Amino acid sequence: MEVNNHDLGQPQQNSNIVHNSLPSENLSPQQGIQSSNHSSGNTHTLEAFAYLFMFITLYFVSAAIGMILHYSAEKFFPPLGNPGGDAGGLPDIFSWFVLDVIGSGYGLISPMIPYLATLIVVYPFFAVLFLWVNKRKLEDPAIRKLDIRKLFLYLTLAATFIFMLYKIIYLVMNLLTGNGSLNFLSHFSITASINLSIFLYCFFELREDKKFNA
Amino acid sequence: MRKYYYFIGIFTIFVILIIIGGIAQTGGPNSARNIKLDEERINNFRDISYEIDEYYESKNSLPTDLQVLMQSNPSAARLNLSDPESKKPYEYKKVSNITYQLCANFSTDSKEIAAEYDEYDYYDRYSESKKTHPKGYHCISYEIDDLGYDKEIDNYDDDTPNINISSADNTKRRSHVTQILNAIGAYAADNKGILPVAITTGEQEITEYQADLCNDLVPNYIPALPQDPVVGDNEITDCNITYDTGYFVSKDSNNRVTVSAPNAAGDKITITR
Repeated sequence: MEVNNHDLGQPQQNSNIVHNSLPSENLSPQQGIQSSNHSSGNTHTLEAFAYLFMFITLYFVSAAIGMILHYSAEKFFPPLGNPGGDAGGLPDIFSWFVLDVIGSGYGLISPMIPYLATLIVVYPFFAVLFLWVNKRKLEDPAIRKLDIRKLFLYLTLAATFIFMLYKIIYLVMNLLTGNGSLNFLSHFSITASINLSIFLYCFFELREDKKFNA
Repeated sequence: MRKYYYFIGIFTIFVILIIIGGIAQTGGPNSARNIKLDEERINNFRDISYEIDEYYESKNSLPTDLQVLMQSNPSAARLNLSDPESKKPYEYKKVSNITYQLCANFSTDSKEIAAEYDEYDYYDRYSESKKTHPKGYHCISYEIDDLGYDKEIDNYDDDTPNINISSADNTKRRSHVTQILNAIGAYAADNKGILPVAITTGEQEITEYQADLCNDLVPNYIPALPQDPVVGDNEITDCNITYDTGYFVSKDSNNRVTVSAPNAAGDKITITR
């Protein structure tokens, strides 16, 4: 299958794809015209938008999964003392968000419902966009150089790294002060694993970019 | 490309499991619908009991049936007297001169629901109703003046709260506490007896970070939140900035609201309605 030939990190065999991947200044005028249809900045507008939306949907999906798991943890590992706030329970800002923003006007609903709805609606978009941008990236490696892609990868990498650092400091602080309850640890594990997954995805993408450029 | 397909395949299974688990925990659409139906029933009961209070105030007796109540005044004509699910009329039973019952076929057990939602600190709006019910047919008893916020406000001058006035500031504090209580009462009267969500059973200071009443009350029910003379003696009109009134608020299990001024000279000023 053509797709298998384009596996990440593998030399591109298809001549058409090689043309598309080369910088236009190294091509003949004829080839340059052909390649400009694919590799110039203007023709990658669709891919740029796809990356933008993919990262937006990634944030929505990760937040929704995180909140559903946090609420589940709150149910299965109830806090021993005062729930909520920084005691290991759910962050106040999310309670406020659910109660006053999303939950407003719906009467009595479980706070998990808005996040379930978010996941049901946004996840298919994320999955389709994820597959499409990666397929396009393999077909046309020039997409790896898209500014918006790099920007989001670095921003997400930095944000997840800082947040993980904050969470680890918070974990150590709680352990040192004797607040390492099961409730707290479960919340920490959820946040850390989601953050770590996104961090690793961005990290490996950037590492592959480096390999590819080399 | 294959690895991306594998990744998204495994991730999709994970997401589906989360969605199934989440729906199982929330009870699904049917459970949510049942809760909403009961909430509507309780809200209808509140409206009816409020109108019965009004009727009693004007006629000094309870209506013989709900149709009589509907014809008594224009606001009562807007009452919803039918069950939202079965569309059958609610049952009204006159028990004594000041006691009556409203009956319906409830879809959930309020205690079970309250226990579940308390975990999220979210079921306040329901438990505030102080009307618990089992699943199935149940009658809720009411007494005249059960939700009589208006009467309490009107009769406030007759109240003899335990207030120790020992300075001019304390006079101001008493006035502030009264203003806050009036505003909360007016809010509840406009919202079918439901108190602002920020008021909890635990005593909290009226600030942006604890009992945040500013958006609920200002400017519709009070032009500005008053501030304790010790804290600043300003008038809080902008709810978007950090504020601190120096006054505390709480409610008890019977929905009686207490506003207090702990900075008062001498004894703490506390008024409960």
